[in-house]
Amino acid sequence: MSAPRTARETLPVLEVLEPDMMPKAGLKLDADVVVIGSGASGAVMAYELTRAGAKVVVLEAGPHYPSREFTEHLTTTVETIYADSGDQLNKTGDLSVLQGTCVGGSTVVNGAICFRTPDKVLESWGREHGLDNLVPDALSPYFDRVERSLGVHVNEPHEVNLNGRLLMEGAKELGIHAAPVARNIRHCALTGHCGAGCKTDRKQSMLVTYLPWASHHGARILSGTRAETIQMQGKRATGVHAVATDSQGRQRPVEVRAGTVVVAAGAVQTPLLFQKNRLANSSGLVGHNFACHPSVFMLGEHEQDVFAWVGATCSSYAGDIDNPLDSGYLLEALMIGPQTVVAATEGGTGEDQVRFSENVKKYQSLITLIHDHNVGRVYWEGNRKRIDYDLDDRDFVSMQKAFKAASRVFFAAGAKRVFMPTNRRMTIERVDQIDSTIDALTNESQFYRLFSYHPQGTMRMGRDPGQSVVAPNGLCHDLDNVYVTDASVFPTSLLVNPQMTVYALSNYLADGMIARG
Amino acid sequence: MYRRTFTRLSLLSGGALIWPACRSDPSGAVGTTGLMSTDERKTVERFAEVYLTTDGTKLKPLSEVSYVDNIDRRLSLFDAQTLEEVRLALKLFNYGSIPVGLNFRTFVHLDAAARIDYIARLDDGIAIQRGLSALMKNLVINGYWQDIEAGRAVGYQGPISEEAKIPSLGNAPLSHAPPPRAG
Repeated sequence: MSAPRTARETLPVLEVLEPDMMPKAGLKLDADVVVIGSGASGAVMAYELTRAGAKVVVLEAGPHYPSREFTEHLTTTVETIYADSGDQLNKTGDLSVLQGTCVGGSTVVNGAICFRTPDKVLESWGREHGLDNLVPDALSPYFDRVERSLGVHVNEPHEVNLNGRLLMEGAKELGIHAAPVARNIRHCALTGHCGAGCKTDRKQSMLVTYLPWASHHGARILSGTRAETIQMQGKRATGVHAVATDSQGRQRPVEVRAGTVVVAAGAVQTPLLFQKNRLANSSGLVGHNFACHPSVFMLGEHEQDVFAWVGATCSSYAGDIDNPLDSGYLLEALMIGPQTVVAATEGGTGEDQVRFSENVKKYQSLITLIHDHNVGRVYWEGNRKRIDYDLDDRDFVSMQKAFKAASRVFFAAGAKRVFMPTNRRMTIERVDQIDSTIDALTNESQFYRLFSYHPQGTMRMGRDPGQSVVAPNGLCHDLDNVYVTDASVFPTSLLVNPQMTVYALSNYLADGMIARG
Repeated sequence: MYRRTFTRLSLLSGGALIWPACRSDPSGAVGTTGLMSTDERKTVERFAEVYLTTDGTKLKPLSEVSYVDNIDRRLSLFDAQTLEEVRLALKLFNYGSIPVGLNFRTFVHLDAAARIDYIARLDDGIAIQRGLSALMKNLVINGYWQDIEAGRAVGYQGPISEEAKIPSLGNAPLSHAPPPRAG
């Protein structure tokens, strides 16, 4: 009889084939399914398909960083595992579109915030885009499944820091719904370093869950390997040509022959791949309908120390998430560190900047999300990718509502001053200045410090091939065996953080693929 | 073209949030050091002297933070086109003060009060000017706060898990979710 195994020994191992390990001549692989991307969608697809018996190869363009190599230093993390080293901008240059580019994708660097898709959003998808298969009752079992798998739970009281409590207290005072957020995390160490990757594997990102599970079932995961060409015979894909780049910059060809191609590279890279290959675009909509929940940081200065970065990266939220189409905004108690605050908010020049920086521990910090319209576009301009997205005037109204709500919450929670997210110093000193200050703002470029972690919508899903790119079952309308499963298929923005929607939708689409054989 | 270039630049060096490094292809640029010219370094230093006046405050003194080297190192990761755009922007920022406010001097030769006034004028200017100002602020802010000790001076703990010996939980146990179902 063998010795009993420790719990540690039974944990699945993530095996990643990195370019440095590949033969110099490259690789030729055969698979049933090749999955492009290893983030929220690609990882779930790989696991569900692999455990159903399919032979799966996953191609990830970004590097593989095991969590032990995370530095808890945002700057170095951004350099290594964010898209364009953190400088993926809209064409105007006033919106930073942040995505993880590594094994595990954005799930490695997100705030672990979990919301189910609001019912009213799903209902609108059914009503306006023919997605009557995605009704709340149909997706609910999938949310249950992924929530169980990822340890999703509502923050316990000890996981709600002062920053989160102040948001809930202020919102309650104003009659705005507020509550602790749910997160996909186990035994959170409350270091506040989610944005730099969880060094101790508590955040249940794809790096420590679905990818090692897929690996355990036999999926082959290649890092540093960028898909370049979807090889076609008529309307059928026969495989993918990719290029692996090693640590010395040497490139190696990777050919994967496969009966099915799943593209899950995210709402920026997925349409670019299709455009490069001139595929699936009979609707003319590939790359169109980009939305991103444009966000800002807002700060309320208190007399007391808040230390908003201590504890869970995000601990509570406020807003009417059940009625996203009406409310249009969401507030989340979130901070990453002082460098983020001083970069995201203009404190002024000279003494003003210094005083602003010295007081950083006194700031209550919120981010705002809005349910934006799909007005953007992702495309190639020569060999440069472009993201055309300027805040729509209708969405600026939602943003003003968010600014006002955040400002009122700050004052209700006891703040003495509010810092606006503008490129020149702008503060609100009293409650009675809120409306006049914010009503006077206009929708100008280069005036607000905008960012987004939530690109969506560039490969719209819908029943009508003339109005969408992807069918309700995830297949491209124009192709026989190429699926798109990431956030690019969302017909509209969600308002809430999208990771849970991506997990559940991917699981749903994988089940459909398995059922169809 | 210039509007696009300079407005786009304002978010470089970290966007609204974070430190930059603009590589269109992650397999591409390899960093070198010592990219910035003397004039470029001077422009950044003269800006920082009035923008982030740390002397006698709780903040880590600017003179003890190698923020210009940090900026230089980061610029070395930009692709050639973006680097050229940043260099053009630094030059435009410096020379742009000549007609503004009838100074007839480049930014680096202005006294402190005139430099502050110039920055304020850009902040209130058109999009291109706001973009130039925002670029300079982001370069300096991110170059400065990249130093972990700068954060610690204001109470930020910085990296903590190793110091606190927080153990890794490793990969999650295999999911016990029910098997896929047909339909």
